[in-house]
Amino acid sequence: MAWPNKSAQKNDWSISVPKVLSVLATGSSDGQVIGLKSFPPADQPPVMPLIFYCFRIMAAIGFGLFALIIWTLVWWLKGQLTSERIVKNRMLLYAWTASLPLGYLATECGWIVREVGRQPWMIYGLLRTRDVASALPASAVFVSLVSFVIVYVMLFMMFVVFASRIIRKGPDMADAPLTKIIGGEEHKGGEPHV
Amino acid sequence: MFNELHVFLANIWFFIIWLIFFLYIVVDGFDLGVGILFLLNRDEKQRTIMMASLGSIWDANETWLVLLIGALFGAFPLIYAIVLHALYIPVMLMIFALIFRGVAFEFRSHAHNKALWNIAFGGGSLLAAIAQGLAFGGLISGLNVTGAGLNGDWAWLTPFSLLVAVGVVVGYGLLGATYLIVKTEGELQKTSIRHAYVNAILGISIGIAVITWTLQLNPYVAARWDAYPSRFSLNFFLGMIGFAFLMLLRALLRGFEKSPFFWSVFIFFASLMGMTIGYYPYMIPSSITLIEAASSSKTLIFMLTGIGFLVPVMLVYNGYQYFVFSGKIRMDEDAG
Repeated sequence: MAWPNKSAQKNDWSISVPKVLSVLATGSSDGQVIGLKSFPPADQPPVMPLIFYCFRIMAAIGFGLFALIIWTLVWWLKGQLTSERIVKNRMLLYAWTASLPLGYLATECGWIVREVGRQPWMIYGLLRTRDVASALPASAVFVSLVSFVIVYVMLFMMFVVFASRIIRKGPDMADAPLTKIIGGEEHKGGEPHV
Repeated sequence: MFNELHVFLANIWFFIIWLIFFLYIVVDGFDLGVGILFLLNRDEKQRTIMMASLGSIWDANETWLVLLIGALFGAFPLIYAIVLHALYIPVMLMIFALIFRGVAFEFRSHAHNKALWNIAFGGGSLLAAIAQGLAFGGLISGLNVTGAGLNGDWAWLTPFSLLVAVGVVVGYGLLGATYLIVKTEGELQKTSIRHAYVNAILGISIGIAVITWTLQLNPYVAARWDAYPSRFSLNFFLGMIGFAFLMLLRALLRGFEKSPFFWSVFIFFASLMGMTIGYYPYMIPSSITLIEAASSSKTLIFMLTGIGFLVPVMLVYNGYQYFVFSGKIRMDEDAG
């Protein structure tokens, strides 16, 4: 963990575990990791803390989801994953629910790391982003960008409304043995519709 | 300067792009056409059937648009850069229209208030068709690409491109109506037959106007019509359009269900053939030919190995999809 400072070319503060990065990047505990300082500042990406933390958030989510898999697997092996018994393990149910947005978040973080991290190059070593930008007037690009943001925020809110409506309605438990236990509680807020 | 292999490859890619373009306008044409006719229909139950007739295929249809842009980027990067730059506004309009339209498919069935999503679907379809018409009309009326920064963002907006946009809306309406004749029955089918008549007659009139106007706007096309081999094929395809139009009217009169759609597609095919031959080898009329715009031979060969495998797979898969979902759309008592 650290806070990278581009102008000073060092980390403002850091907490480090030795050798872990070497294993992640090269696969051996005494490999040579090529550091950011090997590149001239002109070839370094902007907003380093963004990349730095997006990568760590992504990695943390990855390990977290993996832990959730292990946890679930353990319960499955213990025979606790049937629809009668799972309701007793509220912690696991909450963890599943909480993990819902994590996959999307990790994907977005990875995307930011990739796109911001490769700056200032469009094609690495060949073409700078500023050299390939279109000659369109900035106003045209600005308008379309703002429109995209507005439209997607709007659609995301719609999605949340519809998704929560579907979730509140709950799964179709008509054939499940537990209709009484789960059904009575989960159906409360849902409006039945065709 | 250009060797024969390069000319050959560039022409192959021109043909592939042409094929993808044609497939896109036909499949998304009837798709958007159904959306346009959706606006004219007031019956909520029929509207649900209209949307259901597209439910299984609309996104597959739009795959061809993605492939078109991707293939253009790889094979003719110059056209990609110039066209998307010069047509930025209509292309953006089209994208937003397609977003709303696509979302309406998913959200309409969950919504309590369907009116909003009806507008998103019908309006999105109409706007996408208009934007495509404006872009295409702007392109074939000739973009001035010799200047440093093109000639403004609005060069595509001309009386000619407006006429082409109306033509595209009507043409898509014809494809949509004849598609609905295949997929529906009863009241909705009768309405669709009426719409098919109106759109066919309107479409052929606008088509004649567009051809006449093109000859005045582009001396090059007029010259092609006078030159020896191209004159023959242009007259041939013009004749084919006329023939297909008569066959379409006959099929509608006789109450055939499938042939109106076939003849409508055929009209699109012959029109696009005629247009391509009229402008060949220009990709941007009177400025850039397909040889000038093509990537290097290496790139074209490399892309062939990818697309060469992909296009047949897509065709078979799409065909299979239509086969699986063939037949009339009927609503169950409890649905809708």
